Amino acid sequence: MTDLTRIPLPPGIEPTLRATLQKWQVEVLAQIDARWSEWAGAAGLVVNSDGTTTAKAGMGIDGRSGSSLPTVLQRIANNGSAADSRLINPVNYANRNSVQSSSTILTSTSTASSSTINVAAHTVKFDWGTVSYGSGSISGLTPATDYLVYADDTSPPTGGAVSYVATTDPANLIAKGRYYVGSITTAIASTSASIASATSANPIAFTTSAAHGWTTGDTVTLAALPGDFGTNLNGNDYVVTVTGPSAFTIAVDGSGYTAYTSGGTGTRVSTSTQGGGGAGAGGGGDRWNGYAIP
Amino acid sequence: MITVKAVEGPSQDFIYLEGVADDCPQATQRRSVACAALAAGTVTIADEKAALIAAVEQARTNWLAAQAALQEL
Repeated sequence: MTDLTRIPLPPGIEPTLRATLQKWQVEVLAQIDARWSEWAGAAGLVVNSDGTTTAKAGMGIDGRSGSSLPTVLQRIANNGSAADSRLINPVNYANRNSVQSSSTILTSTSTASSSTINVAAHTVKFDWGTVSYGSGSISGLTPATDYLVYADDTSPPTGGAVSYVATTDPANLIAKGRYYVGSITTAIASTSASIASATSANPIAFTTSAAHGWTTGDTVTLAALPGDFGTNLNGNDYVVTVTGPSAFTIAVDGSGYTAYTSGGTGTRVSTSTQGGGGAGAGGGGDRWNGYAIP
Repeated sequence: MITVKAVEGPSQDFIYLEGVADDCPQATQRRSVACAALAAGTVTIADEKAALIAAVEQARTNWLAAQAALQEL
């Protein structure tokens, strides 16, 4: 290029000449810039002659071209969230993309006719931060049934007080921003039986006025028993051994108790806890694990 | 004072109640009630509301106790 400083110029013409040369320079650079991607070995976004764009290998989405490319770029929102999972590569550590703060977030209780799932307050840790979820509950459910618990969150998740939902259909777990908490089998229906007799013996043997429906290993709360039975047993939970449709024993030495007179009830305590962790792909032995979709 | 109101939720199979303690927003909880159970009569809105209020009250008590304990450190 000619060195302008070595050319003698008439007085007053230099500013005009410099302005003209700068204009030419801008026009040349503009042409170079438009084709730079091709010149550099197909490393980026190429603007085609018809005005469409083509992504080259350097963009990581090689081969996508034409009018679809702007759509792809637009699908990645300003908050970093892609429109759907096909547009992002999974990021995980130790085969998890998130970890819950506890493996027993879910517990269940049942009455004679319905169950409630209680969700404890907990956190979910991602690689980008930790999200806190408030406690909640789901009621009116069926006893002794496998449920999957989820909540809808924002995308990316922000937690807080969310509405938890229980479903038996795994397909319901998949939705944008849906947070899968975990699965639980609701507690069996609670049942009560009136006590008809009790022995002052070791172990104490009870009979009930009707079939109790319990099985050995169930936990039963005793209440309203008379005398020494009441003093020592009322309000306590005992694991029962079923000896008949209307009979059971508890491992307590009642040989010193005054004789049973009448009254009392036994109520099967009905609770259950979560079997495995929810959030985090590959975690916890939970049948349906996977997820926390950002 | 605990206020209970109905809020939106993810599934139409449930109605959603939210309980808020006016002096402790950290104790806010939601209770999802199965519509089928309401229709069958195995649960009632009144009982569910009472259960939610009790849960929020318990959470409020726990939170305020924790705050008080922190003040003593």
